[in-house]
Amino acid sequence: MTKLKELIETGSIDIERLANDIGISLEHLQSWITGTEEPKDIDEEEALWHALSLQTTLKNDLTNSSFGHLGLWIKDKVIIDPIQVAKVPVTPKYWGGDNFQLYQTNLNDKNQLQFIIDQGDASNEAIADILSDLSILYRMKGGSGINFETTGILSLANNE
Amino acid sequence: MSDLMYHSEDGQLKVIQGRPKESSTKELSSWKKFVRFILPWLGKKRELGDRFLAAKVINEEANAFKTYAEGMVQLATAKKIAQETTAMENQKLAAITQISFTPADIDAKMAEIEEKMKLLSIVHGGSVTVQSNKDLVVKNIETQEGN
Repeated sequence: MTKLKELIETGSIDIERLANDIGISLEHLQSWITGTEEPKDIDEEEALWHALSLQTTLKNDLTNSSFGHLGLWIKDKVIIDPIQVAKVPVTPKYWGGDNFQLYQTNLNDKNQLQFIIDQGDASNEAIADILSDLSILYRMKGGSGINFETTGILSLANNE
Repeated sequence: MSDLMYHSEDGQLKVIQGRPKESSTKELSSWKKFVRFILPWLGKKRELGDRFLAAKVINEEANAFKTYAEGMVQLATAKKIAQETTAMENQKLAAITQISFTPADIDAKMAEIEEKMKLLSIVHGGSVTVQSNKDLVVKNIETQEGN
């Protein structure tokens, strides 16, 4: 019995919601859990990764070592929990592979996010449109909205 | 050097910090959930991560700007964006009549944001990436130098 199955049985994961969030049938998800099948492509893996991240009841299990025993392929991708994995270096593949180590620190103390904006040739309004949507998204998820404050400028160095 | 470095004309990135507007215990709980939600979602936008790998990132806050004038222009632009964001959010809020939102509503908003981000990337060569704090950039530089 995998750890994931245990979590499902204890109610830590709503498997029907998980399947629905991924966009696959319950039977299909169960075949993943039992190991008889695996996601067929990166899109399915990504969908699972995303769906699990939405199930906040997972947070304790996502971050302890037993998560690695889920028997699934996601153990190196999913764990991005800034509060629980404070001391664990993780390497999300979407951040560029093995050389790019994302060290989460204790966001409990910081309580902040940083938005790194490469404006390109976009207008200020185009950027503000995205940021304001993110704030509204937070409201839609039960928050009070986001205050945005300028904190600095970074530069990509020119090695020429 | 990789052209990944030069999507923007000046190669500079503006850093805008986001905090919840309120600070109650309930709000903190919502914020934590949002952070857990948004970091993987926006973090998977790998473009900036790739660019970090391709180029050194210099934190010019401590290192001074290339020139004082350039830096002040960039900073002023970033402040304008932050101000414009607040104004735009208020306009959008005024147009929203719903008092509760379904998962489908949230998914639709996420899809809308993703479309805007694609447009920003494809048409304008830009990106918006989220990280938990400055250490991410610093750690990455350390990782590169260690390799």
